Amino acid sequence: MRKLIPALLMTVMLGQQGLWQPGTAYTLPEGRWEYGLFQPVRWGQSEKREISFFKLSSLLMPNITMKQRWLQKGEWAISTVHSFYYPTPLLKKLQSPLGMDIGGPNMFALISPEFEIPHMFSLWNTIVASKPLDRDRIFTGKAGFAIALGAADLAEESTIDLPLVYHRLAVFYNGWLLRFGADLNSRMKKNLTYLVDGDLFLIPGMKGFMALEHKSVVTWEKSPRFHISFGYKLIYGLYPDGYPNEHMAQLHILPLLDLQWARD
Amino acid sequence: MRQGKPFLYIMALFLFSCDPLVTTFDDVEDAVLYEAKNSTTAPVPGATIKIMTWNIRFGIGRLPFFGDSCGERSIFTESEVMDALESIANKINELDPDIIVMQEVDRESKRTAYIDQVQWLLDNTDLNYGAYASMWQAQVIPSDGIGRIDAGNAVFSKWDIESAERIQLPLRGDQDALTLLFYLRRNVLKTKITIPGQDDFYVVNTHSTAFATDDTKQKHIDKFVETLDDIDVAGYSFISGGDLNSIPPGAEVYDFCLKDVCPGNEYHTDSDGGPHREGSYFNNFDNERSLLEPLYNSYNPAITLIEAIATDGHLTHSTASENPWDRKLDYLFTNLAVVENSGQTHQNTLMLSDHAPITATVTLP
Repeated sequence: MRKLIPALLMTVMLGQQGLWQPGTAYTLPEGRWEYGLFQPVRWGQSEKREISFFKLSSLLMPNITMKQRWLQKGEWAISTVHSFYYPTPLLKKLQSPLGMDIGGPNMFALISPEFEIPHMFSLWNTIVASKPLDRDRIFTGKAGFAIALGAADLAEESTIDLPLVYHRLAVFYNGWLLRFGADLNSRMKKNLTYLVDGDLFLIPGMKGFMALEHKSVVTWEKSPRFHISFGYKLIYGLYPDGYPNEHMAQLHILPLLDLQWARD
Repeated sequence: MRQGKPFLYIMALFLFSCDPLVTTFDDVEDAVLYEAKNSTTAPVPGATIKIMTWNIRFGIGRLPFFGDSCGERSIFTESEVMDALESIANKINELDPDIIVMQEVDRESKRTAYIDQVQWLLDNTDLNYGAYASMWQAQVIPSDGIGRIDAGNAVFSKWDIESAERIQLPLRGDQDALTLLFYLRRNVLKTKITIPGQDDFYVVNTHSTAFATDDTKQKHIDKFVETLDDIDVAGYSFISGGDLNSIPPGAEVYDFCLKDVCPGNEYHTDSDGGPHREGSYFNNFDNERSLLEPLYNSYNPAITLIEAIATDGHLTHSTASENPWDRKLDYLFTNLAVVENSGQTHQNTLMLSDHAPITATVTLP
């Protein structure tokens, strides 16, 4: 009986793995859908494969992500995540958000219209490993790389030097980048969980070659089908600079809020 | 993984960033002080010193910037900016001024390859010390892809700058709130220079509004004059100048709308003579054409008013390099004596900026 209860708890917990935990190696159960205001739409295609995409940005930046769980060895689960992004329409839109025919045609433009935006795409590949630390906590580590194709003609002066944006689009200017991260998912109370994570972006050879991002999010699980999350994101990043420096360090903090729903 | 949300992140940043997107300023605050990487020995001044004013158009020479020359570009390459800065430094070294008041100097701006032009000019001329006061500073200007910007006024000196104040000028009164938020915050840069043998020697620099169509320019000139009067009344010496964006009192031509017109634009089509092109019309309010009279009445100009309006030899600005200099907008004034006939307008700089530099020699007390 003493051994049965922990085993039962572990079984229950493992059964919930992947639910509301997009950053872990666990995949959604087959047939389950999760979607949020800002989180991607996730779908458990099979017991070991999950498909997701960002719905809002999909209109201007077609994208799709596949997470494949390969191993469940002991307490470790290991998956790989593969994403495809085609940002050309989005970046073109950012050259004239209101449209070239309206009023000030370059109003709100974040990229100068003088630059040509080529057809280009990026592929992100990450290996993700998760392990329960105890009954209430799961640790996840990840490492990956991204490559861009078709971006050779993109002018290096067309960057958007903003936190979160600069280092994600950097792959198109540098051709490749590395990304590492760690997550800690934990349950505080029956209906309250939190997530603490850190991500490191490295873009060797590029001005502003590094960003370190940290996020803390508390989630209230109102029901198995509805969650509310809030927290913050802290970004320490290097950005391009000129004489006499190569890089400029900046620190930003952003509030996070999301509502998520699920259906099986 | 969450690498696919740049648009949402941009929106979140605009709405929630704790680090202000746009830098605002106190009414009076310290300016930024600089020193050359390798200082040269400051000369012991003789009876006179040479002074200069120059609006360097943020080191892009005559390249076609969208904002002022019917151009279609916002962002310039590092090599383009370096070429222009080298030409400017060569001209400064040739003229060898002791003190410069400079306008439209960029630093860490996306449009000019992030180059700190104050530091670069200090490191590539015989000037040793600098002071900088920003007039436009933001993490991002969401228009025309300008992005990160920091542009402003600078004072350069061979002698140490003891202190530097940034004095805020009134904001434009003819813009909507959103535009105003991201728009220029012009200033007067007041510095105190340690010249051997001189007590309380001030250098004052300003760049008045170019495009306001209300009386904002009047307020800018009033504040500039007030700053100079305070120094003068206290019995101190000053040299001052800048791009005042005003024509000399008595100048015959005050309407450059048709001369500056860009393809597709039309002016003077209404029955009242309007509309006028912003920045090209110098009669927007009462007394605009005589705005500089208090300066000419109270202080000594590098170029006398008679010289300024009698010949084309002292015109300092044209919007396009195809046009010769066609108006005078740049000035030097002092409460010291200007050496007779020392004032010069260096019009052989047509391709270095859209403004010509002025130099003069003043006699130290």
